[in-house]
Amino acid sequence: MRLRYLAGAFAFFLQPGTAQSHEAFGDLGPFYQGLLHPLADPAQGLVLAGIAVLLARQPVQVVRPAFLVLLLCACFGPLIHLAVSTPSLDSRSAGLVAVILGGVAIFGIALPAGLVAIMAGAIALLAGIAGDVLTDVRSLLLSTGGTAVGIAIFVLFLWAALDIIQSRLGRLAGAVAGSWVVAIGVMAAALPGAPA
Amino acid sequence: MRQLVITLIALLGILAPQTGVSHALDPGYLELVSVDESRWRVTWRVPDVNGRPMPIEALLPETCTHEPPPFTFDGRAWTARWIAVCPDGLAGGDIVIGGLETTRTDTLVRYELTPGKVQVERLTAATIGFTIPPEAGPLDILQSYVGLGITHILEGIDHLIFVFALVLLVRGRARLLWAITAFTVAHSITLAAAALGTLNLPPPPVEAVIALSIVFLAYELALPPERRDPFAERFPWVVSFSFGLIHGLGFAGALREIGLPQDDIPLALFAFNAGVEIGQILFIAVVWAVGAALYRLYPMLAQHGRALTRGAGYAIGSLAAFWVIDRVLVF
Repeated sequence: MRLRYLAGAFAFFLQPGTAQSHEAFGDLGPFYQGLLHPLADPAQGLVLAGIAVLLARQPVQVVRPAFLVLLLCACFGPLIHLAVSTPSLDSRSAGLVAVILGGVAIFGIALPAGLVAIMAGAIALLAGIAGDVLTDVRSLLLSTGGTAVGIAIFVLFLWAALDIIQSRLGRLAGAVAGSWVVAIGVMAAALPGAPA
Repeated sequence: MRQLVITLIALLGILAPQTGVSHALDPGYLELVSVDESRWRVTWRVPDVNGRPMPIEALLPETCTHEPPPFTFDGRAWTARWIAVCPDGLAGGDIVIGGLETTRTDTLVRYELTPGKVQVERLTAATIGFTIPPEAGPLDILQSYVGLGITHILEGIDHLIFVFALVLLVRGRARLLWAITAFTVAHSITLAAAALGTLNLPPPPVEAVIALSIVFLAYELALPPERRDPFAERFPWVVSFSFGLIHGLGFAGALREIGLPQDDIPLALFAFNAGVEIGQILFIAVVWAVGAALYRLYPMLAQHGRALTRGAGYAIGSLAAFWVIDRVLVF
């Protein structure tokens, strides 16, 4: 029964309507814009969901350092975006990245801790550059802080939810989540209408 | 210890000058005060962006004739004041903030259909305009003021840090629940009293005492549990109630800036308070959830719980002490 509620809640969060969820209470300023960006931007949310699912399929000893690297890189992403004017993460690239992450997660291959940390850091950087560029210092600082916290919380919550589900239903649940990430990634990358 | 000092200095460096003013409502602000049946005194306040007014424009109903003068800078925002003549009145007309869709700011529109009957609308990048209804219904008021309450608490970093300190300080969920409830009851009392004009205190001392209340909690947090004030330890709800009275006066200051609809003061007060509570509960839920997830990922954190709480106490205390000084200097 609990699983049904959980699945219902998860399905609710996947609805397109949540793309506007950061506007539910209006504009709360750059910190909250950055914080809620993973929910508002499907490309950013998808790659972060991909890395969270991948982390959930790895031993916790591997996840611990990887999460710290992710947090660190999430802080630098917006600053790199500002400094070198990197292109924003588009749906097609995000879809391809999600397919790779989800694919690795499906097979549950145990990866070296260093590699997982590098992947987590790279994804955090990718997600960090997905936000809007702000020019004034105060907004930039608030937005950067919000983005870092948002990325970290998004991945942490998804990892924790999957870890709990896997501990109750077995590791197959993580593989199912990985397959969802692959499916959504394929749609984002291949379906017509996906912005290039 | 050295690492802690470096962390605190870094934290202050990032937060200090910005958060000193972060609590103020800093959106665009458009006010239309009714002078008589066909004239309105317009105040248009626009945030500063790199020394210039933010490129947004207040568009009044088409039947109005008006000529906005150039902006003047008051040290924090750009303001223009003028008289608009609307022979057909405001009801049924559209108010639009041109250019708002390209910004990240809100604009608060406060208008009077007739003298003394204040209504408030909040416009965002997603909703840049609205049609002025003949008279706002209870549902509109409820929606507007709940949103304002949520926004206010979520942007009020000092209130959130106070609640965070309570979450860290009070052991046991039932005791925390009582402490938070007492805080809620207390700030509801003073918010209502101040908004209705029964209690009038100047905002600067109130803001300073709010910061001082955070210093008090931070001091308690920085102590080992066995050295904490036994009274605060045994009756945390008394402490949170006492400080809640002060925080309510802070909320009232914000509500006074926004204004209350004269015919629906109780409803607007209730809605604003409900919004504050919803925001507070959301914040506590997120803090708890993050804490639970972090303990799951790093169970070793539990062994260092005391040190982490003390570290948080020092960080919160440093920030709050800065606010006390900053706010006292405003007197």
